[in-house]
Amino acid sequence: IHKQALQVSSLGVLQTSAISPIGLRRPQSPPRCRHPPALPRCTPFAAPFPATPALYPPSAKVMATAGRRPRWEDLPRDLLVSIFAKLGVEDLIAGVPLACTAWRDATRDPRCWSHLDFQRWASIARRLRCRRDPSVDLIGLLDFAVGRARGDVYSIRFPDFADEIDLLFVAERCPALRYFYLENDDIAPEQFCRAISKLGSLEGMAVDEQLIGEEVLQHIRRSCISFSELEVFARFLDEDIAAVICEGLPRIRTLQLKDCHLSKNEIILFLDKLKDLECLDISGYNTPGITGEVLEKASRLKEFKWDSKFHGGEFDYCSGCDDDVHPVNPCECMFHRQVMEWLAKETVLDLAEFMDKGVQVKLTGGEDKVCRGFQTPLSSQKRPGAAT
Amino acid sequence: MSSGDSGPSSSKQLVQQPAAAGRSPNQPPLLGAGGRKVIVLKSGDEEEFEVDLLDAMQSRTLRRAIEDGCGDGPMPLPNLTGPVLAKVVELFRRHRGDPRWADELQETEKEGMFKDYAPQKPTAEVKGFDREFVSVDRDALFDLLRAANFLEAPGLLDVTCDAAADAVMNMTVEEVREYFGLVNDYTPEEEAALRKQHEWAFQ
Repeated sequence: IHKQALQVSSLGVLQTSAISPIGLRRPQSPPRCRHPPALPRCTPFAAPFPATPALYPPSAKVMATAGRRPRWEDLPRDLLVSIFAKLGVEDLIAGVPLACTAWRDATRDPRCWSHLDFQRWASIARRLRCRRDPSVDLIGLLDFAVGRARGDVYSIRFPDFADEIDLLFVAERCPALRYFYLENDDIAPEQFCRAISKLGSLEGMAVDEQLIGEEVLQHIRRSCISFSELEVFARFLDEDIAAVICEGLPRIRTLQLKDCHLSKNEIILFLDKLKDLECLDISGYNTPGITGEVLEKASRLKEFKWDSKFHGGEFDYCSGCDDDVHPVNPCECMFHRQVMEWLAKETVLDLAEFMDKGVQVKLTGGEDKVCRGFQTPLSSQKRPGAAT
Repeated sequence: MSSGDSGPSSSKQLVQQPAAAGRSPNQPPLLGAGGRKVIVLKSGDEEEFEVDLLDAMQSRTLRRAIEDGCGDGPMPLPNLTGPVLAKVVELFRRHRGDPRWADELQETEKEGMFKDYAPQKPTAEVKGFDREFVSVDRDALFDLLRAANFLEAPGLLDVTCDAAADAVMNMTVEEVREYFGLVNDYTPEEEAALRKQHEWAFQ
């Protein structure tokens, strides 16, 4: 039951902020302190919450659990599974199960293994003392993890060296896979398509631009009915590839092109052609293509993340006009100059006042004067967000 | 279905309530200040907390109880202590309208029970509160985990399980045992076999 609840909530994340991929179970946040000092037993919540209206002053009765040691090994199995499901394979193999028998039994639950993340291979290999060739170890580990999951793997993130053979291996055993992350830029398209045709439930994937072609995308559209989320690793994306994406997968709802050189034309193409698009993430590369037209078209999206290019409050290059901007004779993209002047003051802006077209955009000036945009529709903005 | 309608009569007198007699169980329970629908939760150590109905619905356990008409009197939750319940109630309040936390509310909304339910994304402030919420010692986290499990609140469960997983992550076996006070119930032979097994599996 609880696992189900967790899945519902993780899908909820997908719906509300679909920028985070289905497979992104644990965002790569900086690791917190791993070994907090064991605190002495004390009253856990000494500070009362003034906002909570207690009808009566707290009674002087002793807390029900006080005086006896909480037995972590006696937590309900479902609860342990909910916790362990958030751990990586290295902890599920070399850490938790060796602690005690109750915890070992919980790690054998298939639900602990339904989201697999091998992306940080170096630390996994160190922890599991893998000494063979990484691809050999990976297959061994995949075999083990998929076996533990009894085939019910819903998302998987491969390490950077994984190839189509690893994908095919997983696809053949996990027909319910919904998301995979495969960043290798040397994948054979035929084998890739073979794997895709086994993944009828696939909803999202993150792949290198090398795989973005008419045939592959058509194959995905035919094989995976509910495919809705695409992330492409690319340094540069031209209008032709953008058109291939729009024609191959016209129904996608989420598109991520991080750290990718994009100009205004490609962004406009996505916004025009992808009618169901809800989330577009082109952050990372400081594109000069964010213009008033782009922002207006993007106002229908639920989420639009971008970084705009300017240095010291000035555009130094404008791909829309494909020429260096001359300060004396600026192109129309200099429309944003006013925005930049605001940004130079590092203030949070309400672009709606500026544009007066029903588009609300919050802009914050970054450290090196990179313009970051994050846009949400007016309808969901009940109160202004806090300035960062 | 309406078994809880009458409620424990003794505790009912303790709380100032508008006349609620004769209501059908599925109607919104008590009206608090400003016309808000509220219910009262009572911890195992007899502390009472007024909770907005919308907030309480984030817990499937409370939701079932309310739908069965138990929301009229103070709802006894004997296995939750006052401090834990206070913390949980505050967390629910902060996450009011968070669609991720109340996944089933929308369908109930159709019945006109929650006219003021409006889905809202959690703000950075709420996320900060979540982090603060689980920055507690190991024993307190244990209590919160058990509360989350009992209340069947997806959001609360997510936050507390995340904290527990963060604590376990990258610990050696010995560190895990020490930190969580786990008793090693393996025989030395079993443990050696287990360690050997997983080394064998990948070498």
